This record gives sequence, structure tokens and C-alpha cells, in this order.
Amino acid sequence: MAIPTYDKLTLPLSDGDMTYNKEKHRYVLDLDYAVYETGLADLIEEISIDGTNDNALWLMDLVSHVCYEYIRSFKDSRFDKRLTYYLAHSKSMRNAIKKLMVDTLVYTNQEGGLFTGYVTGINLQEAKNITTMKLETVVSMVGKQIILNYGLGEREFRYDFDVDMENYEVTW
Amino acid sequence: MVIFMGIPFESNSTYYTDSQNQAFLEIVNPFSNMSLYAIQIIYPVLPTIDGTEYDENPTFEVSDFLVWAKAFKEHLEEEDSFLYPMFNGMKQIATSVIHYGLIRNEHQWRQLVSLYMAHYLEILITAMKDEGNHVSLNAYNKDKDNHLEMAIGNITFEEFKSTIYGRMFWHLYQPFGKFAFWGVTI
Repeated sequence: MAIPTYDKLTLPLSDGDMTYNKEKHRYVLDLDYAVYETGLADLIEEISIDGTNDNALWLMDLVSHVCYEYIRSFKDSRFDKRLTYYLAHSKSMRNAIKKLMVDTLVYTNQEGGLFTGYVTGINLQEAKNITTMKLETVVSMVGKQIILNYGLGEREFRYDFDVDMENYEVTW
Repeated sequence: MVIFMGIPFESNSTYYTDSQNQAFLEIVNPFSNMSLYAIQIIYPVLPTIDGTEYDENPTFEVSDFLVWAKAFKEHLEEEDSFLYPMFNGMKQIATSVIHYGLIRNEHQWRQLVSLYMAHYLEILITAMKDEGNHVSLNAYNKDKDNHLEMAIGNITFEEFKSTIYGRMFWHLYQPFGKFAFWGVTI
């Protein structure tokens, strides 16, 4: 059993939009693409302290980390390995992750966005103050909709597919 | 069979009755006209049904199922779809539980099989979602999971009325079903 051929990526795809981090096993937005897609022309300069783009690269990695953990929050722990495999080997999920990360970057640039959500539990777009901190605050309501549309909010996978557990995370 | 009660005589009149019980009740009543009748009971009066005509079920495919349960279409597009094994399992059961010999109409039989299957598939999907974290090994989250029980449509699962497909199925199958369970050989 496998992911359908029309959706299958034999190996995680790195291109001009996103690069697959083989150590952390997640996609990270390319900096130039992120600036172009979000329209945040001064993104690098805004958070740079020493004039380099190190901080911006760190932000790309953080956004990736947050988005992946958000996606994981919808699944049970017993699916974690399969989910990591699925996100790496599905074309449509690659698109979903890309959209979600771009949206989260836009959200982050709005009066604090992701960072405010991270430390206070307030989702700025939903305009509600959440007394207990929840992971949903770090992603905008558009991000939540992307998750639902792509089926990432479902508890089960839509397809039964095999994961080579012997070589898990080794060949990809 | 000829039964004599009271003063026996024969006539050419024929008295049709739905059951033997009705005739016997009339006979044992001494004030009934029938206590004086000579009765010939011919039973059964209906023509004998060809027992082999409905032995074999009509074909039943995914497309037949989707006519009545289109909401499942996306879950049955691929043979690797998560619902496919359950669909096949339910198909085997449903086609034998819903007796074709009882329905005797190809289209209606397909409709009933589809609704029966959709009812159980909906319940299986609800169980698979495991929203109450019953099957999960994660720690039970009291705030979140406590209120999530196996309730569908506000009715705890105990009958066909718990899903919309089950309601449709039972409404249509009830007239047939009452004959299916009491040992009447069809």
C-alpha cells in the first residue's frame, strides 16, 4: 500500500521555494521566496542586528518548527512517524505546508503575531484573549482553514500506506 | 380437508379465509352460522413461489453504494483508501443480511444494502476518529475528553436511529424486516 502515484514524492523535494531539512525532517521556506510571497520586503533588515540574514534564517526555521508542531497537534502520538513520512512524501501536503508557513509569516508580522501568541496565548486575528495558552494561537485563522482544507486536521490518514520503519528517516 | 360440525351437509359455497385460526374460531362458536357448515379448507391458496428465483443476489458495486451515500465518495476513490477494507467487509455482511428473497426488487434491494452499509460506516468513522481519546495512549485530558462519548446525533448508539442513514434504512426495511426475523421461510 502506498500514497497514490499522483500525490507521491519519492524523495522530499527541495526547490527555490522550500528546502527539506534532512536532520530535522521538515520543510523550511527559502528566504527570498518568503520575502517575495509575503510581500515583507524589509523582513531581513527588520530583525537583523548585525546586518546579516542569520536572524531571518532563524525565523524561517522557527516558523517551520511551529507549523509542524501545530499540524502534529491534530494527530495522535501513534501516528507521529507516519505523519512525518507523509508530510515529506506527499505533493499536496508540501503545498499545504508552504501555504501555512507563508500565512504564519504574514500573521507574525502583524503586531507581534506568532510571538505574541507564543508567550501570551492571544490570537490576534480571532481577537480573543485565551486565558490558558494553546498552540492554536500561534497560527492565524487562515492557517487553521488551510489545515482543514488539506485534511491535515483529520485524525486518520486518508490512505493506507506503508512506511519503511527499518530505514526510517535514513534515506530521505 | 373436510370438517364436519353440527349437522353435516355439503354445499358449493366457498368461504375464503386468511388463516386457519379464523375458521376454527367460527367453528367452535355454537352460535356461528359456520358451526353448521361443512368446510373444506384449501391451503395455501396462493401460488407456490419458485424458491430458486431470488437465491442469487444481484451485483453490488461501489457505484451502487455511492448512489445513496455520495458523502463517502472521496473515501472510496482508491483501493488504498482507509475506508476500503471496511467497505468490503460491510458489503459481505450487508448483502447477506438484507435478504434479496424478501425484497424481490433489484433497485430497492441495492438502496437498502447501501443505507445499511452507510449506517455502519458512519459509526466506524466516528469510532476511528477516537475523539474521546479512548484508544490513544496519550494521557487522558480531562477538560477536553471528558464530554466526548460515543454519541451520534445526540442519541447514544443503540439502534438504527442513531444515524441519518440508519433512519432511512429502518423506515424502508421495517415492513420487510418484521417477516425476516420470525422464521418464515422465503
